[in-house]
Amino acid sequence: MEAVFSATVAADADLMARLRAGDREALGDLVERHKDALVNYLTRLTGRRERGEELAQEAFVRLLQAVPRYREEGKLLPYLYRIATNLARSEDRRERRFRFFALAAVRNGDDPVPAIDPDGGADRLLREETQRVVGAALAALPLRFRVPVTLYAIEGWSYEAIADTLGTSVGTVKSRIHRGRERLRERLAPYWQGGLA
Amino acid sequence: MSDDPVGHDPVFGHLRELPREAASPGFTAGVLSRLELAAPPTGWSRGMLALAAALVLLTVLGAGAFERLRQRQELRGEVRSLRQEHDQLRSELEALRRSAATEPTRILVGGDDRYDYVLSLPAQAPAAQPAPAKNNRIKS
Repeated sequence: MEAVFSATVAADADLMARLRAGDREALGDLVERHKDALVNYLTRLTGRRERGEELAQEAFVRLLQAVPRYREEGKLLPYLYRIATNLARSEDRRERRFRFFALAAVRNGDDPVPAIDPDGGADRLLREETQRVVGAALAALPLRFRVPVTLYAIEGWSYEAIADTLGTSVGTVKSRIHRGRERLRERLAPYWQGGLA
Repeated sequence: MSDDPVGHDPVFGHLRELPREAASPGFTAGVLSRLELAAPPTGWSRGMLALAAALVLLTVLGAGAFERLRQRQELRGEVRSLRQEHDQLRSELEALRRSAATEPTRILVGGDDRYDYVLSLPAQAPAAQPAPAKNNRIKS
């Protein structure tokens, strides 16, 4: 993971230098480079792919607008993910304000039960159902646990990189990941006991 | 991460198995068009607004301070002129007292084209009985 990070840092620094020099192609290159990981991260945070993609686009726009003020310290990725996390936080606050309507939307089909595929086997159905349940359990975690758990367990980031992105200590990150995992375990216990795992 | 027991947790194993979402084909174009449509960075206008507000505040505070200074100077000038007037009146009063003590008092009581009729009072009246007033005729 560290090797991936250092390679990314060098390439990102180069892209940002090109952007500051007015190279328009670097815009597209930068977006192309990080879009999939960011969309995946925000999809897991918001629990909805479309919303995740929208927030990822907004995060890139804010990053690109901040290029003139950006100082190269080899921390573009934490900076981008901090913007994205803040957007997800705002989204989360908005959703909590309208929780009643959000719940109504979920009941109206935002969280569909997978259809039975006649060509797929029972294993595939079981896997899809497990993924749906696990994804829903993650989306239901409070954001202060959801963010570090997603970055650590899904995106494979180190504790240090997460702490850098969230502007907190490594100890806090470890504690939140641990507590997030405990909450997930409690939430998923009925499913494990029912034989989904 | 591989040495970390937390990383091997079955719950996290299930999280890692979640399918990875990828950006849609039009994602980058969408970002670039959003960037084009986005208003110019609001930092500039916010900064200008803050500067303008600061200037207005400074102007108001400056004008207030100037006005207070002006009023204070005006009051000082008034106090100075009152003191001067007071000193002048006091010196005039003392001069009058001095002259009253040394010179007889003459009161014009009438007259014609050739003479003034004055009532002349002594400079210092005797303590026992006042000196009788006498009519003097002074040629004008």
